[in-house]
Amino acid sequence: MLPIQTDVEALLKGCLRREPTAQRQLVRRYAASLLSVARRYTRNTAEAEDVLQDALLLIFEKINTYNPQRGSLEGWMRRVVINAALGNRRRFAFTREQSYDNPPDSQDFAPGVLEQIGFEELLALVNELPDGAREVFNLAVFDDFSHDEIAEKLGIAAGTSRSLLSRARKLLQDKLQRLQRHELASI
Amino acid sequence: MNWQAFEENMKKASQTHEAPVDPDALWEKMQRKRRRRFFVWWWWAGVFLLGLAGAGLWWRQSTRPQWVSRGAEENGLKQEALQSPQNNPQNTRTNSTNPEPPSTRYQSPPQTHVSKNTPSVAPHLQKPTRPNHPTWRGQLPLDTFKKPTFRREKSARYKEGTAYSIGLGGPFMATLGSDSVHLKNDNDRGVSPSPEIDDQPSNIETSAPSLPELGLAPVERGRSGTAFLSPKGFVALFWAAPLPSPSTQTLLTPQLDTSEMAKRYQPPQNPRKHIAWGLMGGLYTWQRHTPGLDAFPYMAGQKLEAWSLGAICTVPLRGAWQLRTGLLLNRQTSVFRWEFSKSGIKPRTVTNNFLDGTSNTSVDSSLFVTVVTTRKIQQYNHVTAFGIPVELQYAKTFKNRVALLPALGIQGRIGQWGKGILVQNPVEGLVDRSFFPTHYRKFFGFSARAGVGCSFPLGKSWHLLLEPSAVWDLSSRANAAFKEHFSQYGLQVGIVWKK
Repeated sequence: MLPIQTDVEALLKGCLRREPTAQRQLVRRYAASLLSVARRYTRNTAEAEDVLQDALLLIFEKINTYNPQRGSLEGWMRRVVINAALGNRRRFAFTREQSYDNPPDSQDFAPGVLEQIGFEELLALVNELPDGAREVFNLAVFDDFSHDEIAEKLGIAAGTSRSLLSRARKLLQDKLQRLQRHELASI
Repeated sequence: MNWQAFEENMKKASQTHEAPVDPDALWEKMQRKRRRRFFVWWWWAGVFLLGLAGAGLWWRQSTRPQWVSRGAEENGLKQEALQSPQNNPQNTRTNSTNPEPPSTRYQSPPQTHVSKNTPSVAPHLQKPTRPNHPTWRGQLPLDTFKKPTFRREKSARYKEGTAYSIGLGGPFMATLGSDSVHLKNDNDRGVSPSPEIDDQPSNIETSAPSLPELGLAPVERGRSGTAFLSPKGFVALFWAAPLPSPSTQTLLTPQLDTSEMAKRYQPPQNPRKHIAWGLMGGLYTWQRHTPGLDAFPYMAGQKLEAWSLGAICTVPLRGAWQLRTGLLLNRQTSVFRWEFSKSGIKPRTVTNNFLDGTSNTSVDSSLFVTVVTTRKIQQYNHVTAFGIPVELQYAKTFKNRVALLPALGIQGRIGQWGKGILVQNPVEGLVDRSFFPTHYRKFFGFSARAGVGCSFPLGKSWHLLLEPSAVWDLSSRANAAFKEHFSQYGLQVGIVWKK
């Protein structure tokens, strides 16, 4: 059984008793990191906050299903946020993905480009990927899901997941190359 | 750094990354959302109960025998009087010797021994002129609505059919089973004034459709009510109105003066004949706001329209009140525009000043600066939705059959919202759809409508309906940037058939 910090355990017990004070403390403690997760799966901050609110309400409702033996509370909540974000997109929208006719052939980067780019800027670039590719990239790279798990979550084939991840990587490299070549007219 | 290491770094950074957020503001928003969900839940529960109550009222009115209601009201005969000790079945046979009849109006000897060959028998009892209506069932004891019951009914009175019903208390009953029943004998159904005329034929409808076909229809064996379909299967709620037992029939009917009854008797009309059916369409314009860059909506040469088309039916309620419902296809098109600012990163440009006084600029590829780009954006919306209106109308009919119909109601809608944004690229000057490709989202919402219609007769059964109306969207969040609900004004035109 994984150790649970005392304060987290107290928060968990309070949330199980549906105490508003404990729930508010939970929000204060984890909102920033969970919003970061939601932000990666959504187009903008407003949508991310909306997803996070839904996810937190779901967390408070279903917190009795959390099993400490299977992982940390934060990890469980991150999964709930991911599911909420994916469910939100599945329920309300699907996007006609834009076509990229000429993916870059070269993947050479000038020294320093990858080191210099900040995480916020990188997130901005990732957010501009088409929805399908972005979701697969987020799940595979940031959240360490296997292609089989991604296929199950998104309702696609595992081969499609691999294809989308490859496409996402190419598109991201393309954007970084545009940075490198000073050709980025706008983001 | 190669790409794999780059991705590893990204993953590590994402584990510790925290987005800027105000937790207290987030908590307040969550509370508001929780309250809104609670409100929406009870809103729809209220709408459902209102519809159920309306259907029940309509049904009760349409199934109430007019000769009973008129006779009882005109003579002051109350339901309690029918259940008074004088009406005890044991006393029925000796009613002629009862010194205290329940009502002075009914003090005259009741026609308990009416024979079909007796000339004094009311004409409608001599001939099978009873209405061909399945809900003609006589007056009911009040306490039949109050007892929770569980019953399994398989009676020899019916040719076929078995029903299991569980009373949940009060007038509502959930029923499972086959309710397709047929009367074995016409005279097993209905209220006979006396045993002597039991052999008279009756035209009472003797078959009932099976449950899944019912909708809002009676179930034979004296149980009427309403039914609805749920997504997971068939669920039926019945307003329990059992037929009087044979003893109750003999209890009730001898107390009625059949000759008076015959004078006042008017065959109840089939309520379906009162339902008006029709087609209706409407053209609307959007709400206009103050002109300007952020005008809502953008009017300059853009197409702004909304229309609806569908089928309606109007069900009469008590008095001049009517309930209108149907299925409408709604289509809305609009274009909005506003300015949008977006931040991004660009390589930093460095200005170089030389000793000879010249200068130029170069780009430092290793340093990036954040730039804010402001663009003019046009957003277009194409909304297609199916709506089910539930509206309450008051029909004021004039002598020339022209009717004034003020109406108020709500409309639940489900449909698809296509939203796209055209961005003018500041560098190339081209319209670029790639940043914000068209989103299609399914939505579920509801709107309120108020209008005053005017109905003009077109011949015997047809009517033309003109109805200026206003519609307010109560649930749209599609243009959150504006924080406004849609509203539209227009004219609805319909043609209605009513027998």
